[in-house]
Amino acid sequence: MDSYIITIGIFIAINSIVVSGLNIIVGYAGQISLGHAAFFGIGAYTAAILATKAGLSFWLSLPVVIVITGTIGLLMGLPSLRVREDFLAITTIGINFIVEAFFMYVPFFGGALGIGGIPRIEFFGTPLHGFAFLVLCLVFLVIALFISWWFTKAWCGLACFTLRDDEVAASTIGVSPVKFKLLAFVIGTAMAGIGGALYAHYMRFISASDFGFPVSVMMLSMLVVGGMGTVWGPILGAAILGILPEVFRPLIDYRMLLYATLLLLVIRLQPGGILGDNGFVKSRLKAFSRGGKNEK
Amino acid sequence: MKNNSLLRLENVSKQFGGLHAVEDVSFSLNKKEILGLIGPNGAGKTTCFNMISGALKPTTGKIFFKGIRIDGLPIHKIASMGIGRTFQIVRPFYSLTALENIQAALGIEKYQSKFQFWQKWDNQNIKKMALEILEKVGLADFAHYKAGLLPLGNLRRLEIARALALKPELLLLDESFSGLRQEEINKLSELILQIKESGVGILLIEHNMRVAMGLSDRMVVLDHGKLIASGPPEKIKNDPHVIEAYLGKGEKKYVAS
Repeated sequence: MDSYIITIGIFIAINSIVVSGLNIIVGYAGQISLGHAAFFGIGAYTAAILATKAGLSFWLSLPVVIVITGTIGLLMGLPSLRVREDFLAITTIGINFIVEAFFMYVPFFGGALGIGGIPRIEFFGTPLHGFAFLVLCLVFLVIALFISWWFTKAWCGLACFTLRDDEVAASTIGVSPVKFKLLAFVIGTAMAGIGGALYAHYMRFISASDFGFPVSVMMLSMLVVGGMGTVWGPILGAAILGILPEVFRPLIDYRMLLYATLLLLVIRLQPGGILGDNGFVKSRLKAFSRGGKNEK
Repeated sequence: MKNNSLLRLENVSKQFGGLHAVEDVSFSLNKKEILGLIGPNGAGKTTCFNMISGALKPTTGKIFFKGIRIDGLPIHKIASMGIGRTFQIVRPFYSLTALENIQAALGIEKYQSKFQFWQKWDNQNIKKMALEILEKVGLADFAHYKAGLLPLGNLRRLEIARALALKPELLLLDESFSGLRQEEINKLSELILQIKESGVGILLIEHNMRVAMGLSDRMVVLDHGKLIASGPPEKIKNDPHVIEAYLGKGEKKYVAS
């Protein structure tokens, strides 16, 4: 396979994992986050430092990455217990800037130079690159999707849905907002961390600007386009926003304009996202399962 | 007597800054009893309600449920002890179907546990239980409608169904009849009497006097945060303080039934 296509595939897979995590926080639990790239970054930096300074392999550092991003995610979830909606959005933006500044200005994290020389992931002694790395990413994507799917079927997911709709009413049926919001934050940010570790080992060089606020916005855009609160939405969103810039490469200068147009179109025409409840995919499927008759 | 009561408020007060929303209110409620909590607008009924359900913490005073002190506990803890409530302005889970609204409430014990919340909720058993509850309130036909699409009358039933799914021993109904047509009121009254017969204690806030008088075994009247009368409906109906609170002085000839 063409290595160009493989590279795009790897980015889409990694973004899908990270956006699936964002989906658990925003789509399932209804806690808006515009700072998800921070956790993507924390995962990447943790993996990079463990690999370059401690010489740990990807497989050994992975549990550490998950624990560290999840723990920081837990701490960052605490504001969501006090502030909501617009205010939470602004708070999470702030978190993103703080984390980015940390990577940028603390010498331990390589400062403005970032961290280079991150080794490739080895699998029983063979370094993975190209197609093999894509397969590895897809394996993690399947795991992320499984968690996402299980979440919609487990009590904790249902608890998150009730929190998203009405926090007060959710408490009156015994849902602790603290417990389930934080659970969503931990799982969501840990997934971002896994994505970050894969990213670090694939790029083999990372710097703070890879995890800035625009990246968070892009992730949220992917989620909105694909369909918030759906299991497959993050993949569709990551694929669309991953492929479009490649297809329209001659228009690279107008990329942001394209994003904005796409986002506005989705919000206007498919407010729940393409795979969302009132999206055309679902209504087509419904019509199809009814034998083509389009009743109400 | 004291130990038998399901719910007991002891000298409960709530202040919002300088405003005494509820002042030194005491009453109790037994199993299998409907206690009507009435009073003019702004009397402190909903504040009382919010203190019992945990949304507000009393400034002073104690609230006991089955002999255990509950004031100041978080809402979800109180709910898990067996107190269900509805809201004056309905608060269903709009993006979930009517059935899912009930299924969510059936998970109350799982939500409290350490790990059981990882179990699957989407199973036949839970679905059957939820459908039975919906049937009881007469919403079975709407099971697969999104709650956001249901009319108010049905939403009020849905809220009661959701509270029933908690298998409560005490049910708090906050103006569950407001905005309903007479037929709907009759049906809902029947339902509430049935719930009472099944052994649940019910605290009912109600503006519609006829409904409140008809349903309640005992009534408590609040005015400006103070308890001004309590007793069986017949007594309340003729209590001069109550009439004064509702209609003012010197109008006793025109008291509505």
